[in-house]
Amino acid sequence: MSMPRILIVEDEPVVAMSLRRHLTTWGYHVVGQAVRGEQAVVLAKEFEPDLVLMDIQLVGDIDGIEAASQIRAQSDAAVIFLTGYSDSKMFARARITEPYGYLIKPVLPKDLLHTIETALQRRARERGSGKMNSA
Amino acid sequence: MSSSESSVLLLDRDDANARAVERGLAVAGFSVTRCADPARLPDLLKAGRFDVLIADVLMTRITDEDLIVWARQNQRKLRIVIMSEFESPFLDKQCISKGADLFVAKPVDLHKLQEFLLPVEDRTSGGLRQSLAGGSEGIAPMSGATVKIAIQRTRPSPGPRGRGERGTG
Repeated sequence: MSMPRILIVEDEPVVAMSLRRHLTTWGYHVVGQAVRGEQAVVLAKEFEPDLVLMDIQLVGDIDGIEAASQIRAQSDAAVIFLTGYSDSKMFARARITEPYGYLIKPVLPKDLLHTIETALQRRARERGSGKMNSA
Repeated sequence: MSSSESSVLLLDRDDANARAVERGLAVAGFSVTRCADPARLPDLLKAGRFDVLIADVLMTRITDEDLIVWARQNQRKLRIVIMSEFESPFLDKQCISKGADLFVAKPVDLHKLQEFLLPVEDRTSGGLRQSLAGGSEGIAPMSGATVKIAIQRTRPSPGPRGRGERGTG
């Protein structure tokens, strides 16, 4: 049994730091932290995280949804969106990438933990059943 | 008692929390047995020779007898940790007065659990903290039984974003 590896994609330093501290405290291994979508895609390829916590609105040329789409195309990492906004258009776009969760900030710690654990469990089940293909 | 020899009985119906605690302790070398039925506790404790009982406070109230009191009376050497969704000083005192050794709020701070579970020699040599911190990626553990996520909406509007450099990279 090993610690799940998580990549944080968040351009707000305070939020990113808070997430990182919580995840570490709960026993997850934070493999990296990105502030731009392009950077997230590169880090996901390099570190092969089990899960990506993805902010949607990021600085840079691509947003979190596009970054998630590219990450999903190259790996089987589970993506959970974390966003401060919840308009229907954005949600509809996000759904296309088949995320493992969609959380609206501010997030209660227990809700974050439950969503992460559910996502990890689902990912493990899907990998076991061969539904997903490794890059 | 070293961590590699310690056996933990985890009593919790909160699957996400239980999975996280189980994994964190297993990585640190503890043997963890999960249970979601408090009625099985007496038999498990009698048969399993557990060193530590970690139970949700709600699970201690389901049987006729208070589980903390029962466990303390019947397993004097057992270390008892009670978890709760609520960070309540009253509940904390109540559990400790019944015989619990530690009260922690959920989601469980595994660093705090480490401080309680690991003997002194393991703490000073790294122990669970080292494994939980993920090597050089780790951040110093937070103080206090619980932590509050400080996620706030800090952006003024959902409009188009500038493309300037921000953050730490």
